[in-house]
Amino acid sequence: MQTDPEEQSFAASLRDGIQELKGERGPCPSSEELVAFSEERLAAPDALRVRSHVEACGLCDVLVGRLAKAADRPAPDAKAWWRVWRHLWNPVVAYGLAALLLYPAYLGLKPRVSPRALEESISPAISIPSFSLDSQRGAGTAAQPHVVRLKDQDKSFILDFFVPMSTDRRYFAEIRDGSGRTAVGRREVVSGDSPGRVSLVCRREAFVAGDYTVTLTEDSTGRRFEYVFQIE
Amino acid sequence: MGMAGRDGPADVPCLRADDEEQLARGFEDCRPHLMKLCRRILGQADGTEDAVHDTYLRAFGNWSRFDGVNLPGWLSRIAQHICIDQIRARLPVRPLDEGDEPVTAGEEMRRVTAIQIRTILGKLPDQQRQCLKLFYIEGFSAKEVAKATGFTEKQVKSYLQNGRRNFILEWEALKQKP
Repeated sequence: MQTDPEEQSFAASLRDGIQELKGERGPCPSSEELVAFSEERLAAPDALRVRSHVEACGLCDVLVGRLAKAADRPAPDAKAWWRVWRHLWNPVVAYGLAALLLYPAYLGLKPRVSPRALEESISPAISIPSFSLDSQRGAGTAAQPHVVRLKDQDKSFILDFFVPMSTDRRYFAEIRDGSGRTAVGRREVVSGDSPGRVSLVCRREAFVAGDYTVTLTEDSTGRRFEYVFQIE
Repeated sequence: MGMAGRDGPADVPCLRADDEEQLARGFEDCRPHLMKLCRRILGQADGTEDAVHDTYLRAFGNWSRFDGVNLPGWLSRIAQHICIDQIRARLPVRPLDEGDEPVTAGEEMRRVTAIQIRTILGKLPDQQRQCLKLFYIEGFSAKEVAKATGFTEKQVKSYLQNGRRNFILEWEALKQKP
């Protein structure tokens, strides 16, 4: 097997010891025992026996080494953090990140616009008219329609009303026109800031001029509340 | 070699539908981890898919032995067993006396005993120790050592050369001790 004389001499010098080793090491442990050994789960006498074998067996030594290597790799999270950290050394990333972090501080130092001025400046763009239907509330009573007057630029409007809502029940609202056609399909409503105060946001395009009824149904009892309004 | 164990052939041929679903779901969650684990142990991508597939089959067959606590841990152990069996299966196993040549008398190194070999090998770097063991104790060729360790043949030859040199140095140092 060995051609180099030095190598031959080396092999020959080990031969007796190797024969002795092979004689005392016994059969290879099962894969289960080897895994348990590498995880240090074996009882002391078994661990000693397996260790003694591994010391004398090339293949088991390699296998234990591989098991240990597979278990000792850094966790993916740690590697991911290292990748992020390494990117921070890139000046472009570092300056970009610094600018991003300083921007909120800059906003904090900038003179603030008064709330009123802010409201005035944005109100034309986000103004949504709101109409209270409270005066028309009534269960099964003859309700007087509330008039909803919309401007040409109004894309949406809010119907605001109060219902005696129970916190443990669910409520669904639906809006139909005078002929029973659905303008706004059944949807669940929840109370806003104060208990029982409901605000329905409606899209203008779903409505034409005419009478409409908002029906609010209490899911478990079937109790209904109706609110009538008229679009001009 | 060493195939039998707690994860050996199945006692229970089939699983209840919910158990099967639990195993399948758990296995799919663990699949990337198992792939990585098997690739690391096998030292190559070759055979990784097979090992992971065998892990599922063995887990399926041994479901009754799963304690229900740590499915990823259980699957990992099965995968480790399978990888070990796979590595053992693809390497040659030689009888004890194969390759032995008549011992040449009069060489000083002949007096290296089993206990000295253990001691000296334990002091060598992992790669050198593993290559020396496979080459001299198991009688593998450099090519077979490369296959077993995952090193290239060139690396194996280098580890063997350095390993021999370090072994002799360690042995000489050992002889100096009273």
